[in-house]
Amino acid sequence: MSVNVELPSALARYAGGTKFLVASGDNVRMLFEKLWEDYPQLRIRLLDKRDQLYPYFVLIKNNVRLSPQELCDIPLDDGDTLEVMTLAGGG
Amino acid sequence: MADDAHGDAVSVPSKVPADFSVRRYRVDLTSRKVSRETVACEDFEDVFGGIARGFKLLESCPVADAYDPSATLIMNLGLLSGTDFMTGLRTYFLAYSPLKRSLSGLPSPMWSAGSGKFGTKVRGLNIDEIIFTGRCDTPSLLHIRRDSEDGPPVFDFVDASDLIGRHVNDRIQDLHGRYPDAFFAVIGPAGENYQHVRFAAIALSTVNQLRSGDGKSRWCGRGGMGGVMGSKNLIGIIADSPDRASTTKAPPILKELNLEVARGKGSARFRDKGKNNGGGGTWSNYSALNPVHAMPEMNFVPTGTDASVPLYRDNVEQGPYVVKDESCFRCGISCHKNVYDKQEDGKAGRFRAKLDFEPLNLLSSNLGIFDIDQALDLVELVDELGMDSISCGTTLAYVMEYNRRHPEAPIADGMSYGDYKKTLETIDKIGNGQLEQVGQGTLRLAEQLGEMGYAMQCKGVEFPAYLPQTNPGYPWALAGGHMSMRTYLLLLHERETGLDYWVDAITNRGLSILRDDFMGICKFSGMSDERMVEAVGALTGLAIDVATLKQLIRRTFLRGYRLERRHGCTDDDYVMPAEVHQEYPQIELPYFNTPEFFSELKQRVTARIDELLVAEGLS
Repeated sequence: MSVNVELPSALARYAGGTKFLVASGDNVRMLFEKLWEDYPQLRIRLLDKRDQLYPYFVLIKNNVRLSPQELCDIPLDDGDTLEVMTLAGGG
Repeated sequence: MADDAHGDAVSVPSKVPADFSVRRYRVDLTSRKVSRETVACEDFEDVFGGIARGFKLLESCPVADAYDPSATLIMNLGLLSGTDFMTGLRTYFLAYSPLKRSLSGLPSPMWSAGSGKFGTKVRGLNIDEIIFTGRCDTPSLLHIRRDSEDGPPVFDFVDASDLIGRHVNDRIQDLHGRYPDAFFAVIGPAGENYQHVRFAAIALSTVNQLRSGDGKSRWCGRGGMGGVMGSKNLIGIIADSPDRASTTKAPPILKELNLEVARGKGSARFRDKGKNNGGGGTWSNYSALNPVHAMPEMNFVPTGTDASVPLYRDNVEQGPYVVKDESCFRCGISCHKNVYDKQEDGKAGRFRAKLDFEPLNLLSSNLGIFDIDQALDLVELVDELGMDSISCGTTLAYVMEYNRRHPEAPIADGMSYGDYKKTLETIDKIGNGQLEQVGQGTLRLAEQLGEMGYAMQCKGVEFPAYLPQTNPGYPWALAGGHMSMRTYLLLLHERETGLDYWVDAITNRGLSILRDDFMGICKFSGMSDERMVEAVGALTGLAIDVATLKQLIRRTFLRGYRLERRHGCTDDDYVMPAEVHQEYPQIELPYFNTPEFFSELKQRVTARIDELLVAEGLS
């Protein structure tokens, strides 16, 4: 299951210098676990102590914003795109 | 900008700075004489305008008192202001600030920028820059118009006595009735009472404001630029030109660029949730930052509780309010979150206030006020009096904290955290010049009271609504914190606490935010440097590459820093309030900004900036 992942620019430095990754996983939880294996520095920047996505990020799957409650069990299909978007911003 | 620089579609950018000139007007308000100069551009700073050219000008006109009639007030545009580039709406005001100052007492250079349609109208008058000096003998408006389509601008002075004391939107609607084709830059009561208010702002009228009649100005808020304008007895500027008819075909890439501004990922955070996966705008900071207690409450000391939860947008919308995302002139981002009372039919009724994160936060949670209805009143009143909501809110928080520590001898009528009624009354007094003790801002008030440790400011400019505990870059921000030094959310996102990282953040990465302060576009457009180079080339013909653009950003920062130094700033000015360096366990972010860390950081940042000044020939 190959999924295209897009990270916020600020996190590219913790993912080998790129914000665009390809990872595998049947659902979001599994995909994240795979990501942590390859890029352990990402985990502490995306997940809190309770293994929840920090409240200043949202996930967008195939252009549809996911609600935080349903993140982990969301199934993924081959060719899906999963974007991590930053919420907090100035002004 | 140069007569041939705007409106022509350019296929291959090939122009160099010497191909451009600046249409500059000098207005002596004392004699009411206006002179025009066409100034050949010497470098990229001159071509881009905004703060890049403004800093060069300020170098030549130092003052000891920001309110001295001889002081210079610059109003100018950026290179893309007034063009068809989406968000190309910025107007800049630069001066030595009545608020920002060094410990020596000298006023420091400052600027503030705003959108709306005023800048577009100024461009339509074929004006790149106006330099104001002197002082009108009576309260005056400057009416700028053109008698013919290609004619030069005509400057008329109009008596403004009838506007004195009136609220900002009332003034603007009155002027709109008199000058239906015009847009306006006006001060409010605070600007008139500049001697007692150091954080007066300048309001720029918007299309939505003039159509609806509601107080929906955009603001040049920071640094007391409204007070400088008020000290010149200049109550408003009327840019009165018909809308520019496009005489040339827009370059093909413009549509693509504008689409990216409106729908792209760079601006996504600032769009509404329903618009191409928007993040919901800056108001979303509440639900993003508060759960980790990284949001100001009680004078920048988070409570570690859920007290601010009722102020989340989703919760507000469950109450008797309608929130609409509205926009500046032809902008697809629609970042304005305007709040209305909900009518019985569920539709928007009376306009209450425009809520950005910072006015909301600094006039509610940071004052211990957690009721949205009260917050709406406070935000609206600060706007109507023509004050900077950041400086006003932060100064009020200082007063409340002082009173908490000194219940036996409180100031400002004993105003305390959560006291909505007294807060409202105090704001009214400040804006009307009746409470100079608070209107002078946090630094001067804290000096007077002898308690600097929790005075949340650097160089006299109050902190914005991002915790200083998490941002040791604030002291090097040229214009008060977040919009001139992009280090304010780095800890949240990157969680780095090393010295090397922070030296680079402050002297390199953080400067990138200055680009749009000479580009003429809104920072919310989120466009990359690569795309902006394309935009500049297509719209003006200027040949510039990304490396040169980055150098221009760096040089602009260095000029601003050099100006601060020339105006009395020493190493002692680049500090943070002592209590910022304490540990606050409730903030769920790494604690690193200790006194020792900051001391070493300062040495290294200062040394690095000195190296850069030498390298750029600006030492």
